[in-house]
Amino acid sequence: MSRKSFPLRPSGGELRDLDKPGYYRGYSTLAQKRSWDEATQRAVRERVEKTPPIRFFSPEEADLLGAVIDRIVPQDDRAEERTIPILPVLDERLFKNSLEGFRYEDMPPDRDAYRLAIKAIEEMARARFRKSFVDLTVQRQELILKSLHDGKPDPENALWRNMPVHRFWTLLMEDCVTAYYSHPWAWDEIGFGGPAYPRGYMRLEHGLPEPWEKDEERYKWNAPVDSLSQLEPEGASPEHRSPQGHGGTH
Amino acid sequence: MSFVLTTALERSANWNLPQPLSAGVTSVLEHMREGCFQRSLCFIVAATSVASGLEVGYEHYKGSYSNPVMYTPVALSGALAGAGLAGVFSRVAARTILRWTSLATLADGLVGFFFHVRGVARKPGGWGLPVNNIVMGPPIFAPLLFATSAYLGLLASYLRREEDLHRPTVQLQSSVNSGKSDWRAELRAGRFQKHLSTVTVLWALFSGFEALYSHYKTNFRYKAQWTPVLLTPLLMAAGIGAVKSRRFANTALPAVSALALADGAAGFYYHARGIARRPGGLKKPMYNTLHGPPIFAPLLFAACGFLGLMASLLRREKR
Repeated sequence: MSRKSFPLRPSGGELRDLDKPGYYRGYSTLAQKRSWDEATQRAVRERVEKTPPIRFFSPEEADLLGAVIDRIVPQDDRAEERTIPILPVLDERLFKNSLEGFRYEDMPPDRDAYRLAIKAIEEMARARFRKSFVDLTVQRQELILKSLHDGKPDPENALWRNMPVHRFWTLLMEDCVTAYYSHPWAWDEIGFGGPAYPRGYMRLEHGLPEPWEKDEERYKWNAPVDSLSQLEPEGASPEHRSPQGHGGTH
Repeated sequence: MSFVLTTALERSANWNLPQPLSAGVTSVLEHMREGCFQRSLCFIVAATSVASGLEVGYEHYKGSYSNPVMYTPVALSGALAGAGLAGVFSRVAARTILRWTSLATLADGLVGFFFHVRGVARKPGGWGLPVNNIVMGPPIFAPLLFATSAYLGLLASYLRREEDLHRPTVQLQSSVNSGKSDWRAELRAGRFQKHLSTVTVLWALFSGFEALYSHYKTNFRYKAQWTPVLLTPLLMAAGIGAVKSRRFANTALPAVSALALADGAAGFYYHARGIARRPGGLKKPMYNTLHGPPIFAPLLFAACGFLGLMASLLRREKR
């Protein structure tokens, strides 16, 4: 059983054989830390060096949610020791119960929402494939998650009557993206300069690159052959597509 | 006999130009050599201080005159322009008002330099982020460049007037009174080539550095932006050479200075074009001059070339 499916370069070889994913070879945001102030340096350094322990989820819940996150933000293109922690960051947030400051009236509080969803996903896996979600193949896991993404849980599960699927999906997506793109290694991947204070920007016009910016070096790559998200690029149903338009991208 | 620029120019004028013109060139060169160009230099001082006054006026407007001291260069450049004009017409004004106004403006340039250095230090990150803060902070050498016209004004106040050329009494009197090593006497006799070459070197350094970092700010989009940066070391080398050798002062210095002068003029055109090409172009002249390429900055670089050319037409100190 394959835990991961590898994105490949058409020229041959896996993406994880690159020194890092993304189009900015050799670029490192952390190399610029001298242009940040003390507090900023500390905050960014802790994201790399201090991965919070799992304290909110039980080990079983953590395993399942970890498998879900592996499918939502696959890090197959990253070497093992350069994997960005997403579950620990989410766990930390729920452990401290730090919330966004608002909640949809049809949604339970974030902590309950995650517990409920984990239970529902596990029940769906057992109902459809007679196995625990974590033991399913990548493609079967994706089939279940795709049905959640589409807002039509397959198989139907009574637990989803307690919370709208598309709202939970958005919540999960935001947590994953926030955790991933607040990590300096993700900044290396997208060529982002990191905190702008106190250095700021000097090339303010004509879209000129800052001195520290690196030119994009694009290359072609193929999605994993069993990837479901490639089948219907516009598969997301309109009612849960977000106004920013990221609804259909996962 | 080695090559002497003024002699060569005079000979060339005599050969190539019709009579009234060649006489004019000869007399201008003679006036310069003898230090009898107070009126002309006063006029140049007036013109350059109008330009630098406009420049500092809008640059400080951009800085919203956050410190009252930012008004001083604007006021002083107006005063200097007035004093320069007065000096064109009156010997007394040139020796008194112009001299004191120039000294005050020079001092203001030094004070401004201090404030600009402090301004860079006060930006977030201070001197810990030197590149960013020099590029984005107050232009560090601009106050010293602003003092160019004041410096010329000070020189002008010690020169003789054009009509004094064939009045030996004044010259004799001064050299008898003060001895030949007195710097005032040397200025009056047009003997300050080495001094002016030194000044050219310093000014080239300042304005070349300004060109370097402000063109770096726009990532050297145009190849022409490299020219002042490349000319600066040449001009500095020529200036240093001119201090050491008379031959340099008559050959390399005027050649490189003329290049710098032409480069400054071309830069002025490019900067003006840059302003016109901004969105809104000439329909928003104030806004685009404020936020576009600094329109008078290339003229400051041209001023270095002017100083160098002037130096090469003077006589050397006796010391």
